[in-house]
Amino acid sequence: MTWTHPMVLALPLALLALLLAGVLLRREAQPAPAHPEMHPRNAWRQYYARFALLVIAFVVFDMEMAFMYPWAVAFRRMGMVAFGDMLVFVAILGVALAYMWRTGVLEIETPPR
Amino acid sequence: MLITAVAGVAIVEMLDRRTLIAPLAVVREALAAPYPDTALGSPRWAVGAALALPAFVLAALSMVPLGSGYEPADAVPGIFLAAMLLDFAAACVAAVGWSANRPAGVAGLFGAILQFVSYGIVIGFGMIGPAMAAGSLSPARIAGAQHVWYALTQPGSLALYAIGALAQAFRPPFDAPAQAALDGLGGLPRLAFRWGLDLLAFTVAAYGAVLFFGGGGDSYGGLMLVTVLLLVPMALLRRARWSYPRTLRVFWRIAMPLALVNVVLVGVVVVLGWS
Repeated sequence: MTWTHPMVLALPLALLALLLAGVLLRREAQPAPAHPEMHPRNAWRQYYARFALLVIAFVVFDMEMAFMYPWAVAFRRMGMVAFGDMLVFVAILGVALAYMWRTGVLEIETPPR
Repeated sequence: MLITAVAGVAIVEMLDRRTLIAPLAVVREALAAPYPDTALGSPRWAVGAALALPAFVLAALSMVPLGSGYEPADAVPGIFLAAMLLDFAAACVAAVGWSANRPAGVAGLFGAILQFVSYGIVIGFGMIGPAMAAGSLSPARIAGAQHVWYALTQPGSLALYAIGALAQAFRPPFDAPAQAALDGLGGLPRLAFRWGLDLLAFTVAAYGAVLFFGGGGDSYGGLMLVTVLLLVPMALLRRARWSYPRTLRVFWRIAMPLALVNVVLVGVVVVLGWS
């Protein structure tokens, strides 16, 4: 990969653009004259509070999936041993998913039990 | 690669609008679109996120093996890094939110993230099947390892990737976050964001070609042909937009259990040497 490769050009561009967003956001976050529409009443009512549970579940599953990527590379070489390990791992993930389902974490419209 | 990116944006626009002058029409519309009402404060900060979107997608596209004359960015994490870059692109869409810098912007952010936490794992499981069969995370090696297309030996992985890719590219029926974010932008940022979305669709289709169709046989024309053929159903699919609860139900209750079963099935296929 050379210095002129698109990856070398694109990533700094992306990070610079995010930096720009951060600087502008910080500037606009300064105290400003109050505007009635900028301060909606009862704003908390609009948001789904149990959203946090789902996000935690996502992070847990996403991290476990991230562990599976290096395992996937070694899978062919290790054969049945890796396959057995994977069966146990997938079974644990399945139990976790069943538990989430049973306790209502996946129910977005109804309250949890 | 940059020419491919420009061609990709033009192809997606032409397929979406079914007219050859679509790319020019998009430029005219975006520049003519007024900046959103700035009475509540300028949405300038969202401009950064809108500009970062095409840049992150471009970085992901640079890892696609575009034929024998092109040297892709061959980072060790391979498709894992590509998935991460595409996740950053999704984060840019979430950051723009609904009508940026408006009171409802936070709700837009929540909606976009709710969609992301639904499909993020499923598309990851869809990508892991080809990596298991090829024994590598490198897109070039995965494409080269396919004497028989993984689309034929791993239809489950392809199905998971396909539905995840639709959501990753914010295509119907998963286009709610992107359309809402577009409404909050005007002028050049709107154009950059729109092009970023087009490039995102092209890139996930290109990764589909690499992971499941042998990358078009190590030729640039072959890769572009397969990519365009994958883009056609994405453009034809005009289902009504799904609500976030429905998206969540489909991905967590149907696709997730299938993804776990699919990993086991792919494992059996690889262990038995059928891949």
